[in-house]
Amino acid sequence: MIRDAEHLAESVPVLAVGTSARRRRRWLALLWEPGTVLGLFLVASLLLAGLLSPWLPLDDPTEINLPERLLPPSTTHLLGTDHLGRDTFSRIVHGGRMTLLAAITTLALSMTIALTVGILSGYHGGWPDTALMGVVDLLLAFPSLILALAVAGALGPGLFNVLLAAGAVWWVGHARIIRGVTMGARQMEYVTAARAAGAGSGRIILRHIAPNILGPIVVIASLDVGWIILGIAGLNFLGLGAQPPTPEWGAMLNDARPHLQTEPRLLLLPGVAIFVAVLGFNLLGDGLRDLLDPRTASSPRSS
Amino acid sequence: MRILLRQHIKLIVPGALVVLLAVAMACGAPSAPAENAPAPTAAQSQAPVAATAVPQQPAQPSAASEQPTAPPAAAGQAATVADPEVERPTLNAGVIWLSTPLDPAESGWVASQSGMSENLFRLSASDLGPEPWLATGATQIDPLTWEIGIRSGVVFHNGKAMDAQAVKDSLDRTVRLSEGSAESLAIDSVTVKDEQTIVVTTSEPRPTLPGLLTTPAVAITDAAAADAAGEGNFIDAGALTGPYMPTHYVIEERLETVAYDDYWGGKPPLAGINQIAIPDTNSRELALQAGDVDVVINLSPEGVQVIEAEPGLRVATAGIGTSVVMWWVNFEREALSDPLVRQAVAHAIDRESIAGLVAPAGTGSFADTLLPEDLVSCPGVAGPGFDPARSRALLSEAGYADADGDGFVEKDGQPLEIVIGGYPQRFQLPIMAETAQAMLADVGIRVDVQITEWSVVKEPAWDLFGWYNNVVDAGDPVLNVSKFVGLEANAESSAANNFGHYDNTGVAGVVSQAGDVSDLEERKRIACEAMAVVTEEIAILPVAHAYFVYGVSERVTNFDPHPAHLYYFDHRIGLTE
Repeated sequence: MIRDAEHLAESVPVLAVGTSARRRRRWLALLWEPGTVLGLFLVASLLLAGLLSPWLPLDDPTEINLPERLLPPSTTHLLGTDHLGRDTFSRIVHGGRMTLLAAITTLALSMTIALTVGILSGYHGGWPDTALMGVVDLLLAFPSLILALAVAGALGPGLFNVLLAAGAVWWVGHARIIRGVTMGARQMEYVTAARAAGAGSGRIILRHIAPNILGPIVVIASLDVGWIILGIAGLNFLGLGAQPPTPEWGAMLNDARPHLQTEPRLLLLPGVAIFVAVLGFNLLGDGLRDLLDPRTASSPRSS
Repeated sequence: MRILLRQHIKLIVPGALVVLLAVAMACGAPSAPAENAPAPTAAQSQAPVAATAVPQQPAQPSAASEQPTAPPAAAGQAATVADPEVERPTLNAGVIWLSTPLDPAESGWVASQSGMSENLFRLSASDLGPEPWLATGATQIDPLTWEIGIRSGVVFHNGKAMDAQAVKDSLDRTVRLSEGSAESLAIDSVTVKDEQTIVVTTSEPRPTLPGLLTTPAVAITDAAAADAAGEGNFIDAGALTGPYMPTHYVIEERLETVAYDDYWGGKPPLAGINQIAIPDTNSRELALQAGDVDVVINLSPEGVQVIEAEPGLRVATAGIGTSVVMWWVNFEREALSDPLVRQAVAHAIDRESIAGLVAPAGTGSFADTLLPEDLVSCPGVAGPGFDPARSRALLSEAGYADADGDGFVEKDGQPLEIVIGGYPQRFQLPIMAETAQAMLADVGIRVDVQITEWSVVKEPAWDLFGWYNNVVDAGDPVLNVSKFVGLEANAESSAANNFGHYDNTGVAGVVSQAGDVSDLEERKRIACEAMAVVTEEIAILPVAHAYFVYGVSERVTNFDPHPAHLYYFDHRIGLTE
């Protein structure tokens, strides 16, 4: 994880100015940042649990066992069972896999759209910029979750449709930011030099602009995962996403509602899982921003 | 410092969102979009149940609003009526639906449930048969003629006396405006014999006419006043006779009523009753606990536990399963059109265990067949029992096998996949769908669960569709079998539901025997014979008979829950300070 981030940091010469010795010092300082370490730990655990869940010795998260419904936590069922006798721990772990998969897919989808629109708009300027930013302004006028709700509602229930819906609305704000940094990078002398050397637009974008706007994109992306998890859990809670019996945190919250007072555990556990996942990604994203954002680059511990 | 603060914000924001999510849940904010009553009965299915009615105009001066009007009651607080001498409290109630217009001719469910409208007959609380209400009795003169005595001393909310002429006008209006009622009553003419007697002539024998007159659409209405008020102004007409008069109605939201002090049964001890539509069961229960309402209707089994444990609250039910929780079986879909597959599906689902989940003791009972024992007992008629081995054998006989070893059966390379639908307002239906999904997976049938809107039942997009409907209409067992297979009691009406497109020819033959039979025991025998056919062909899959379970504040007095779905509040219910 750290190596990946370091690699990213090294590829951002404009933003992450500094000697390699200074960078190393900053990485060390970052590692001592308790928030970042905690975030890294939470995210790594979630990813690991999510990746390995099919091979972990867990009960089938979809197997209904009515005689064993609503059992309290025990050695057989670490977190007890739900209203249909399914193992809650297994459902939380498998639900995490589903949630992370959904969040990462949504992020990839929305970032692809945002990058395309943002770079096109920022690099070309002129009428494509006016037209694309017009669309962005229009979409920004709607709260993104409500818009996703409308899209998911129109597409019909299903996890895939929720991913499409979330991806389709989440890119808007990012496109604006990417357009801004692209405009900044376009005016750099090395771009002018490349153009003078006869490079085409495609080459300039790919070789000179894209690597130089990667820093902000990584920061946006890591900070965004948390929000996406919340958004997707919300849509699932409303019944638009994962359909039974798929374990998913938002859907588990909804299933548990009738037991709010009799078995609050069923509501608290997926709630805490969402909280921990969002917290982990936010702390990690915060750390990455401290590292990659030139305004805080001199010392992540500055206060 | 700045970073520390920022990190705290990162901790706070998701935390706050989780809390917000929890609060939103508690408020029921994410509950399903407003819909209509999911349980159109035979007579109702043609009535405009869809919320075409304009919400009644609240600000119009009306006959009703000249009565002391209760101010919008604050949470749990008793409101004061304008009468300076008597201070009476207003009762607040939480219900699932407020979805039908108030004019009985437009279906009349809400008007009947809320104690605003009354019929010539009502369903008895003890045996669910018809008993006189605004009538004093009915005598069958010949197969086509009935003489009905009219109660004296009944006055409409607008002050006009209800006499035989008014009842005739009301019945004529119902027949004119309500196609479903016209068809089920088959009234040819109503004549006034004397001031308190009418003679009803039907075009076909109607041996159960008193029972048919319990339908909410046939509530006695001041026809001239209702017609004069015009559409959307029914409140202004003061055209009903019940102990409560409507003052303000926003469909799907709230209904406010004030007591009708000249009610023939006696002056109600309440100033009025306000009802709020709270479609989400959990939210309804929380509203009672919070003291926002004094009575809630339809508790979940979990809600029963919570309310019973809460000081100051109690659970009330008549303990009779007058509603059936069931699945429609879609005969027009390829999978279930094969009788072998239908049987395989039926034998794979442990309906009794599911009934134990959705209607445990105290809230309902297992429904092996459609009609509840309280209405009719049919020895020898038994539904498809839970038998996974038999289910697998039936699938194999139908040509399905798990060729690719994925745990699910296929035929000619096509997997057997069925869709189980339902709507969320009846808490039973999502649980039923999800448990059946797991049980069907055990025998190799893949299931897609789709909990959407009740109106999806009209689309051909499902194989089984969860449903909740009353099963004691008119107190007639024959009618209540007939209406679930698209037949009325006379086997000729089209006003009943048959959402599964079941070929009812066989049942129609049985039901036609009931044409002019008035003897209840004989009608029960015919109903059992019809049920045997319906059960054998798996026209529907019953799961549970649900009670009407109320959560009630201890402050509420004289509340006797009626077992049926038509009468939530009568004129005796009160509220102490």
